[in-house]
Amino acid sequence: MANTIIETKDLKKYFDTLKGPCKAVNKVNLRIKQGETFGLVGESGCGKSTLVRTILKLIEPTSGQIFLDGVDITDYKKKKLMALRKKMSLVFQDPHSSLNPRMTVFDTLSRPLKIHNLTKNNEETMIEITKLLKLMGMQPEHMIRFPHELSGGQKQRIGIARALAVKPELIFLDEPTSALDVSVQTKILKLLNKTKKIRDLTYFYISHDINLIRVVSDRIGVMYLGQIVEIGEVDLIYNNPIHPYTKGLFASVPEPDPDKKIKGEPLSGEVPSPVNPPMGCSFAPRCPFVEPKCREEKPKLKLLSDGRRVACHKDNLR
Amino acid sequence: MSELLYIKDLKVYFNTEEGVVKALAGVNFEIVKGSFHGLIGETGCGKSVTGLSILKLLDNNALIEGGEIIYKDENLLDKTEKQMQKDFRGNEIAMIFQDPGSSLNPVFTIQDQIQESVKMYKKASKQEYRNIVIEELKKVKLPDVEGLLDKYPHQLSGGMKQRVMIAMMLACNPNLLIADEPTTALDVSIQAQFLQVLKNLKDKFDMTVLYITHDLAVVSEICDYVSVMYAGRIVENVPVRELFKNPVHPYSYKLVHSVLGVKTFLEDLEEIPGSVPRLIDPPSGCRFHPRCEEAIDICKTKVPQLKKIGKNHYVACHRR
Repeated sequence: MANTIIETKDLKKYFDTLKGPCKAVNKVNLRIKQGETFGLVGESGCGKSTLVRTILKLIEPTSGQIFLDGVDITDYKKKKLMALRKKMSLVFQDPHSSLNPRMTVFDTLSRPLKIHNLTKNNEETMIEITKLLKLMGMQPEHMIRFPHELSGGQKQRIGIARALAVKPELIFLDEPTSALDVSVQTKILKLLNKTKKIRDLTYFYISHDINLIRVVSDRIGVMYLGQIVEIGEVDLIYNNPIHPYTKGLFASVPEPDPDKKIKGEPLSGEVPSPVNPPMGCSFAPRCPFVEPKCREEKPKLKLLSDGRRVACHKDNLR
Repeated sequence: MSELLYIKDLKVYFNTEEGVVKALAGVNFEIVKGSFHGLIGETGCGKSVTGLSILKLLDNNALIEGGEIIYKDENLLDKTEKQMQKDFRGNEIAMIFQDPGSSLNPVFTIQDQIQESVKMYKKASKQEYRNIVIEELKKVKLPDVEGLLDKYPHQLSGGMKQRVMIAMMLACNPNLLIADEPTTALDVSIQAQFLQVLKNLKDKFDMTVLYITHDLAVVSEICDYVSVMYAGRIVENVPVRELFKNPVHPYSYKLVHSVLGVKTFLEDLEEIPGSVPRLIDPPSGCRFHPRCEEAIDICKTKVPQLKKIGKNHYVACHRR
């Protein structure tokens, strides 16, 4: 079995608000294996991005632990954190706003190299950046361009190159293609796939696009209101979702086939506020299979015989 | 088959600092009464401009260079601003926009905003207005309608706001609804609810909809006919089933086969080489020719016209 690269134990991130703590990430237990592509899906506001930012230690967790390669990094500060940044990096959603408009491609890409002392002089930096651009299918002359001189797809290639510059083991991709057109999206996804093989990387995708997560991932996790409700092999979950939320979510996605229509309203109602989440199972108020127990007790992730984990009290759903 | 709206050879240019942007260079399609008509294409191909042209809501720097927009036997391009406002906008043709958050006025209550469009065509008492607004909100299946009336937009979720937008538009009882990417800002579950509302409206009120989107999956879900747009021109007008079974234009083919969900494996997805051209200096002839694998000499010089290749199926390509 492959080694675990990232593990979280009961990870929580609460934000203080006037109405009380907003439970953005509420007891998440995750294990990401070396070399896999993990996809986290969920609707907006479910805590996907917060979870990733907490794991990356861009924000401090409220409680729980984070392990990288088996080492507890929860309390890492300053210098130790710097070393961490070389191991994990992040590609942002919107390439139009994640690149500094006043910095050329060279400036943007040389930053991480200089900060981490990966190159000794300008010449080495040049060579390294040329390599990165080539990997991204771009030309050395793009180095002197500003973001406004690049197309959306090219900007996102620079965003990816920046994440790759420090030679990380693990890359988090936060909706890397949602700001791009479909034809560009395909190119970027294929490029990411190729790069993963070349650089021997581990990917952690987050997206609300279930079809995207399906084509890129080995394993997926479904998140609802700060918690993982189902996690396992992508084909297993895709072909036979078990948690009522997963079922509803997948049934809501329109298929690009005029003969297959969505039946009715797969998920009725709206997501409750994470400031005041339901007492028992967070999905109970919207669940068509709800029982009295669901409203009182939070279900834990249980291991099923096919290797996936589901957080649901109902045993007869599988 | 009777068409409600007919667009013929519509050309719209924009004056900009960098030069004239030929945003629409001959748009041709017709919308059948009672149908859902999809208008698809990538960012910047002119979808929204087409929608705005129908209502003549284009910016000041826009020039309508030529063509006709025939709505119920009248050419909208001949109408004055006053006639458009009085006779067409709202009560005949209405539009909903992409971001419901920014199309509602943040300082007025939901009732005030829906009432405003009712007031355009009906004089009534306060209580009567209130009842009309409640009726409209019920049509779009909003929960707790009475409680909603005195709320402000920021107190509503994105999905609810989009429904309020529809209710507002329904209050005027239009014949044609132009929906410009109405679900792009919404989550899939809310999108599914929204599409359900639209489907109900179609069944109950025989509404005609021009649905502008880049999302082919949504098109397959609700549309009857589709116009595929590329760089300011329609390249294919096609019934929705045909589009997915047998896309004829090389661009339509690539577009359909680059949609996630059509294929399960990343490697099977089609790519379109190159990138979308700048419309200040568009390619000659067929605007798709620099990216087309099948392009021949004539594609570079002559603009292909839409020709009939099947029932309600038209394509603009020299190679077909």
